[in-house]
Amino acid sequence: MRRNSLGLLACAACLFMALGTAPAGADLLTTVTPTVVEVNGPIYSYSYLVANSVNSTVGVAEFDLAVRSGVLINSIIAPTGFLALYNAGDSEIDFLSSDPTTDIKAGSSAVFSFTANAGPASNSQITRGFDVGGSVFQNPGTTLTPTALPEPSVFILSALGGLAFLGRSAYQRIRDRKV
Amino acid sequence: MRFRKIILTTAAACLLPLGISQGSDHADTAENVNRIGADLTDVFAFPNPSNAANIVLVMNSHGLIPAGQNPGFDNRVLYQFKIDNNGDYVEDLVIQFRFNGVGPNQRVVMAGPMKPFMAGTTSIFGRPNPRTGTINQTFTPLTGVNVFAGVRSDPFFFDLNQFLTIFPDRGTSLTGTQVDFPSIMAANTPQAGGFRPPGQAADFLANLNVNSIVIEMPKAMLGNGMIHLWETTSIPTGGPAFTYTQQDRLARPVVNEVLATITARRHEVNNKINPTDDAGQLKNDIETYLTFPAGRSRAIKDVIEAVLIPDTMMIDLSQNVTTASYLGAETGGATGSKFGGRALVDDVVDISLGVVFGNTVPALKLAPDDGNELPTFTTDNVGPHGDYQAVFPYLGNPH
Repeated sequence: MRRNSLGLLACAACLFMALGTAPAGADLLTTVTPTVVEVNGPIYSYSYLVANSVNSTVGVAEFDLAVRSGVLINSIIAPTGFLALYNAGDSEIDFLSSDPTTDIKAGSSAVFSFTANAGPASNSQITRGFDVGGSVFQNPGTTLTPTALPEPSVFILSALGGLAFLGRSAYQRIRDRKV
Repeated sequence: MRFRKIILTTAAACLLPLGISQGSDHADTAENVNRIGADLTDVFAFPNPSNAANIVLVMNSHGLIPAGQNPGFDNRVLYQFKIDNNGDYVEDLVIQFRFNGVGPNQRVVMAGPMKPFMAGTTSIFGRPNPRTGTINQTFTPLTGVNVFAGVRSDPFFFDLNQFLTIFPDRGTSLTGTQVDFPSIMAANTPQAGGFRPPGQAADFLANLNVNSIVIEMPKAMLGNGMIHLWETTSIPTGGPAFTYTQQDRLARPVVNEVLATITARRHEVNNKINPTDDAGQLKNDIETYLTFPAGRSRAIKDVIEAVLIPDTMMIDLSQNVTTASYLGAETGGATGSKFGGRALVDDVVDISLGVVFGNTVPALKLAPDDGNELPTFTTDNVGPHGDYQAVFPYLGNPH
């Protein structure tokens, strides 16, 4: 039940964030659409569809996400030609195109993904593009990233459940004696 | 006086048992001590000794690595060589490095040489064409370019313990906490009569290592005339800007390290500014030091300040030579080669001490002799190491 609720919450947040990520900038027009799914206990799967508008004049060469420092992030998958720079404890994940030929071209999109042990919350992201003249174009914004505080541990939840069970049992015994 | 003694005693008690000391730019501010991977120690620039068409740049960081240790590079630091090739002291080219992962397979990610998308103390990493390699292994990111990033024997040589005995202010940052003397003058007041004589002088760095980034490339990739070189480390800002902010800067050895105090964070301020800002910052530190304790004449001060400001390393790429010589480009070859730059064997400490305390400037007929030389301060009586290599990556194997 709890997992279903969290899943619905995440999906609703995804939809909100997708609609709320407005393109900005003169020559790099991008949208970032996150999808977050709780896959196994406190492990969440994050994926981001980064779409570059047909009206952009440069490709997406960089996609950076702020994450809560200390979150454990694994299984990072970047599109072909992109490097993923992240180390345990970092407060951001940097995806860098390794060559102009592997940039996300205007009218194209690509998916970046990973798993994390923290739930989604709104945080900073940025897409960047570079032109041959030496100018940088960027679209800062927000999206869902592994930022929420971890769920209460299973131990705490179990302890609370156990206390509730004991309390109910005690109440029933007292009630039975009265009867 | 009593306060100073307390500070000195405390610093000595805290630091000397740890065997920590400050070198060319080793562990130079409390901030860098607390993030030692971002601490720049030295920069070198010299021609390939058997191929005058190639230049070698060396960026050393994370000083004082004990023998046998290999800590790797700090993954949260952007390391940059910056090159001005039109004389405005703003970088026209950068060569950038970041690292990813840990252990023996830590990855090196290199970008450049290229025009930076942001110049100055804020940087963006990685375009165009970032190339990857593995630490402690030479790789070829571009045709004609060799790169090595890994632990090496520290090539710098200096009687650091005696330097700190003379100027204990320069070691007060080594606890990782900013410690101030009562005044700049107090911080610059010598506490000993000079360096130790031959036989007593000791090279503190003889058995220590550093993390080195060594890149060899055709000179033509950087320019064909006079260039100015410096290096920086920068820290990620995170969102929303996702840029890097400069934490350390280094070019000429011994300048900021000797002439600017830890007290009042003068050294730290100079670490975080651009060369174009040196005239309003570092120059004041040099002026203060040349007045006291050096006691130099106005004419000698003017010459020294004109040479050292802005703080960049001058290299004349038009020189078809196979040797470098520290301050050679600035002095028309008076120190050796007109190429300038800095060779591994260059005794930059003695050259610098000679300029500040000796008769170097009058001897070059750049200013009249003021008669204020302090001979016991003009050499530390320590010479080059014997482990430099004739071939890439040129620095000695780690201890």
